[in-house]
Amino acid sequence: MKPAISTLQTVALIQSAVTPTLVLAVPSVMVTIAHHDAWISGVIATIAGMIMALGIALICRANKGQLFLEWMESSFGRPIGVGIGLFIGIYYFNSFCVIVRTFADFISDIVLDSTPLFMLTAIMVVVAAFTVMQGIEAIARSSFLVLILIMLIVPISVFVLYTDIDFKRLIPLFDTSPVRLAIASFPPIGLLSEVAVLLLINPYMKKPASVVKAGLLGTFLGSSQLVLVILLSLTIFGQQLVPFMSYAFVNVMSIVEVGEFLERIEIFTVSVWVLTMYIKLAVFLFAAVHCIFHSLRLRSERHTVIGLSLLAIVTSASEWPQDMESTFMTTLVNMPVLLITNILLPILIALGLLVTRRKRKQQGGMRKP
Amino acid sequence: MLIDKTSSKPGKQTTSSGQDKQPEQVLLTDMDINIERLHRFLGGGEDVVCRTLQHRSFDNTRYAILYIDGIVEGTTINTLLLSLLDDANNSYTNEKSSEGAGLYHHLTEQSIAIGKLSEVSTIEQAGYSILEGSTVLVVDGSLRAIVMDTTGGKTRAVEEPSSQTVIRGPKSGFTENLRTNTSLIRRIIKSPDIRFDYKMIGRQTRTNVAVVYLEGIAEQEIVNEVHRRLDKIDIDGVLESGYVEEFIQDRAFTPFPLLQNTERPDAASAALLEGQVVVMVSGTPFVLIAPVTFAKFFQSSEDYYQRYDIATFLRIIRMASFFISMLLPSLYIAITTFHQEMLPTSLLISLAAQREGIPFPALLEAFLMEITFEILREAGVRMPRIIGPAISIVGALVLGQAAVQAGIISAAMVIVVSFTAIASFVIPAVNMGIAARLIRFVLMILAGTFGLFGIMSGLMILLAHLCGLRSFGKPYMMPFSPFVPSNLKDVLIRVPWWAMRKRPLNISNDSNVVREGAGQKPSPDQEGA
Repeated sequence: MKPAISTLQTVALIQSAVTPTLVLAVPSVMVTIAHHDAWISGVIATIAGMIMALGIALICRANKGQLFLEWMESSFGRPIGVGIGLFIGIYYFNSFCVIVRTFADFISDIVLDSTPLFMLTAIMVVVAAFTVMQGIEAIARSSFLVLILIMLIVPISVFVLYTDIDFKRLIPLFDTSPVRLAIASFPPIGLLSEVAVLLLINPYMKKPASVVKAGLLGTFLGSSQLVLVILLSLTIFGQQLVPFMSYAFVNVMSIVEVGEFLERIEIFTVSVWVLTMYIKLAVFLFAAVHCIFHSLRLRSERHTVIGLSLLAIVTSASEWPQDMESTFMTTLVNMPVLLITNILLPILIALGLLVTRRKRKQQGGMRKP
Repeated sequence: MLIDKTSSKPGKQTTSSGQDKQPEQVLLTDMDINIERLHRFLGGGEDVVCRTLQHRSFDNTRYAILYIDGIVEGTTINTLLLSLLDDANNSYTNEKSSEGAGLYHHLTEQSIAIGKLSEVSTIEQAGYSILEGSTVLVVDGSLRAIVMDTTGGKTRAVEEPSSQTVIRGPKSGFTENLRTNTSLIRRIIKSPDIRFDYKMIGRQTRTNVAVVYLEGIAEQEIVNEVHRRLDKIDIDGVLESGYVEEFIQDRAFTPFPLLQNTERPDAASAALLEGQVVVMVSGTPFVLIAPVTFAKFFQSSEDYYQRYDIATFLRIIRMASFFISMLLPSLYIAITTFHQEMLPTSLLISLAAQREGIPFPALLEAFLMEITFEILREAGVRMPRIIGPAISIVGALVLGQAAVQAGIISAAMVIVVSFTAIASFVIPAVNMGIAARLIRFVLMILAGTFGLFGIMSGLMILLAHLCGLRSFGKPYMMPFSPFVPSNLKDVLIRVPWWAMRKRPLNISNDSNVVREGAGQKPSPDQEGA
């Protein structure tokens, strides 16, 4: 039985695939570049992200229910299909390792500074691998429940922070030059391009026709959280302090004090964020396994998950130096890779599909008596 | 036609695979050989009773009844014997045949004062019928035997269920007798659409199993799947519905129950009315209900008998209790070990003062207390009821108070463990409570190792696992995920009956979901009309 994901679950999957890393380190980078107008860069990134989501969703609509790699092979031939599969598989595996490491560094910085990094990466990969073994349906359902949790947490967070918010810190509007606004929107655009995972998820959708809606809504939800975090951090701390914060959304929550009996509740915010991060890890590991499993015609998906997970634990813990700058890595170093895989490759696939469609039509016309 | 010639049991009946593989012995015309073979089949024994009679009107043709004492209804046997003796001494001048076959027809059509009769032609069929509590009548010269339903004997009376008590609601509970249990359902649901499909599982125990459902309301695919899974069971004995549950659940390795069990006829009937399928097993008062979702385990029969607002409040309390019983000790460990900054200074000082001098880390302290409590609980269940209170005193005073005074355990930990224990008793389904108990220990280890991050990692595994579970193909986390908004009316909250027009979607037959008429909301207009 082919798994079936609802449109809402797809929205949640896309949201989870882009948001966790988006709200982690990007706000500080954006405020550093665009100062108090960073939220405008967030809006620009949202628009760009939605255009990308639309493009990816339109490509998905050309697929008539085949798995992504089957579709590539049937459209461009087996060698090209396998090549695309391996390329994307390696990309997702590398991204997975980078995210695990970023996640581990974050947890180490915020809470568990004495725990060996190897232990943290191991538990993260084990949880992601277990989730992937439950299947894409289970990942999608989990992501939907996590999305509901976020929907409950976000308004409460804004409510408890309301007294600390000062909108005067946002004025004057459009004080930053358009060039700086554009540059500041570049890192989130790169991360929002991860919506390209829709190409792999689309065949599992119950209603593939609603892929456009799912892509747009998922991207919007993800990027609106980024804008919200930027707005909260700017209105609470101002443009001078935010650039010094590694994780602005954690700092925002750390100032909350509920009735003088509950303080430092940022750990709860981090806990919910941890769930979204796990969903992201699961989506990326699933994508890596899916591509490598189908490209190499492997026999056991379970063993592929185990093998890639073991490799990921070692890679995440040992590939980069102990003092790796996660922010620098996720926002700037990874950017070309993100853009090539999530934007350039889909454009090439779209062009290829147009060419082959014409060719197929011509062949179909010639065959007609 | 007075007699069923196809089967010794009424209705649809099958036996599980792997049974009756040896060639069957047919009944012979010589009654003595038949009786001797039946005795051998039944393994002899003093409880196997054989009473031989002769009929005056049929050339003193001999016939006999065989049954096992203790599993038959004594009064029915006496009535049967009286009618047979009375008939044997009467003279019938107009009988066409004086041979065994003639007597056989005479007895079935004119003499036997038993309602349910069937016919068998082999020693095995006759023998198994006797083992189930029927009485077999063999006639000299006849190749067939009559099976009379005399099932009975002493069984437990219908009593109040011991595991699922309610303040308001029916007080009757299922018993170990399958027939009593089916009658309890029939007394509640008097619909011609109710179906009882019988099966026999267990090579040695030959346990009767009934699959009960409402045709047209239950999804036929689920009914077929229940049958398919039951038919696959090949085991020597089934002593309780738990045996069957382990064979037919969707996934073997999970702490969560994938089938609901109840000993309440009203709960089983409510499940049938919602399109679920009930599996009854002879010999146990616990019936199984499938398919089931996670949220069902937090519902009690009483929720539907009292006001909807009270029911909603209690459901929220139950759900919260589940999370408390699963998470409270691990949260305590995580916060006191890793995240002390979260606590207000005064509370932190108080906790630190309590923990001063305690030789164990919070994780070990919690483990000691939890294990002690589990031992006490298990002892309380196994001990004779009269000694039960003594165990409570030992637990509360000796182990609780003394351990705190001795400086082995902190008072805060005693409070945490006690509250956790009380919360675990709030969960209406015992099997879900046990799942929470098991998970609690894993989360405690994760909390002691990785703090809140460990707990969240454990919860993520739990979430993914729960989302991957299915009960007879239906997603376990429905209606939360997959999201079925209409089913939310009777999950965490219970809306009034007049607002629950439809049965739960995706559980019952979706083409027949409307269960009540529209516009029944009480309003002053109705009184004026």
